[in-house]
Amino acid sequence: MNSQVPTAAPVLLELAGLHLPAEREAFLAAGLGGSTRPIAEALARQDYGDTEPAARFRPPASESR
Amino acid sequence: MTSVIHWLSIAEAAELIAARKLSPVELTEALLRRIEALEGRVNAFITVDGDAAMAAARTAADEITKGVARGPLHGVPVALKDIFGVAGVRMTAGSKILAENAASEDAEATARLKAAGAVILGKLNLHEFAFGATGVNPHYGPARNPWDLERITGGSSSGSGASVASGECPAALGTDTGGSIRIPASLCGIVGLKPTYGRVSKRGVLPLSWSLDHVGPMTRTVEDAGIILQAIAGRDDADASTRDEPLPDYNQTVRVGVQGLRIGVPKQFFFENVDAEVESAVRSALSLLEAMGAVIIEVDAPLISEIPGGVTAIMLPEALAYHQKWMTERPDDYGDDVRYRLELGATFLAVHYVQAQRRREMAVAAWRAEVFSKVEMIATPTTPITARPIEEGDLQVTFNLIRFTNPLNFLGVPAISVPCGFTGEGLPVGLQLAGRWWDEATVLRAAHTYEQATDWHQRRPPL
Repeated sequence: MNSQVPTAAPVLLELAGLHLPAEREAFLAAGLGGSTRPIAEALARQDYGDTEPAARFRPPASESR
Repeated sequence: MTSVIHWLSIAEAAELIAARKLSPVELTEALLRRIEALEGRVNAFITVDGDAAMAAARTAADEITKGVARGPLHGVPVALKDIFGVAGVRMTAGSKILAENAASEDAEATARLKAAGAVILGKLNLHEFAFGATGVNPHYGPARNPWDLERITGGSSSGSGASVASGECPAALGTDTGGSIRIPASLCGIVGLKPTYGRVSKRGVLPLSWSLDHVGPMTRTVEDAGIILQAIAGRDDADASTRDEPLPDYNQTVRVGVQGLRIGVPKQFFFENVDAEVESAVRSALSLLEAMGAVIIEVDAPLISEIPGGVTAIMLPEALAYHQKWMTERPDDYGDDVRYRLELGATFLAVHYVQAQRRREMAVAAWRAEVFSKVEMIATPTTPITARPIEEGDLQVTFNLIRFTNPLNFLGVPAISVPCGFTGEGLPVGLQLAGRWWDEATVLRAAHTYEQATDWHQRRPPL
């Protein structure tokens, strides 16, 4: 596991306004290394071209409808 | 026709009610008795609203006597996963945090069921906040699988699966963000339909992940799933995810048969690491569909290796965004598994979320061009495993349960699970059929044709 992983989890949670008790750190660090990291690596492949995100802002319907 | 009242399908009950051979009051009383007899063992319900159900049944009976006809759900009891709002009724989401919460108004789906004359029996157990696939709930206890009470129902719509499979109600509503309708349908031996994303309004349903949540029916027959979908589908001006798309008469389209229908079998991913008995049942189902006139074609599954990760990178941050206040103020009130998933949501960066949404667009385009241009639907096992023991734990079981269902949430296509056999231990196996966007009619048609050629849906659990 990357040596940065155990310290990264509490910081990221703190930025989200969450507190990570010490006894949960190892558990979450394992998730960060085993789940988040491989997903992030796959998503970092730059083959998106002009593709826009699926989630889009939807303005309200016209008042005249 | 089924002779025991609590095993009547919606279609059967509707026929008897229309012919004045069965009253909604008699039917509702029978189901409330069934619930009372079984709940100590099955634990499908969090709230049974018997008084309101009987009042609604009497209203339906009066209307029918006066000649008012609201359709096949008129006077027929259904139950709702406990994240659907019913005005004035407790809505816990299977959580300690919302244990004393009551909904202020009906969810749109609830309102549409009521308008169709349905009788709401109560609110059903679920994986806490719909955020898990086993249905093991630390606050209300696990809903238990009617085929083996020591095993999970699957989730998150666990009580929906257990109640329908045990004859406590003919139909329930569930929600499906990564498989939460289809997984318990498969493990409990019933039908579960996740419609196209945007086909059914989510307004008034407590969210898990706005981009991936779907509302749909869980029933004992495919015909009944069509009846429920007919009642709840359609645009809702207050839910921007819904669309104005044509809504066929499923009662007609379901009976067309499968002659010439092209069914794709994915060459990658969807048949990998599958229990032998599950694969055997699904392959047998495909052979039967082929014998009835369907054309079975092997197809590629484009971008499939990247789709599950994309689901995670969308679902977890969206879930944490919804839960952030409670996770800040009351983290200890969550069950360990749900708290872990929410905490993990904080480890994804904004760039991951946006790239996952871009990946979703790419996947939709690829599947449209490379799969759904060649076949009307694909067929897979719903789950690679059958119901596991309740005590087995969460993480690895969840990973396995969602593998074949969550890619279809990413794509947003309609997908159904229909019973296709039993293992040697007597546990149900589900066949998953997933069709083109907005084409629930063809999915229902293939599932109904298969169902009517088999007797899996007529088997009853040993309760």
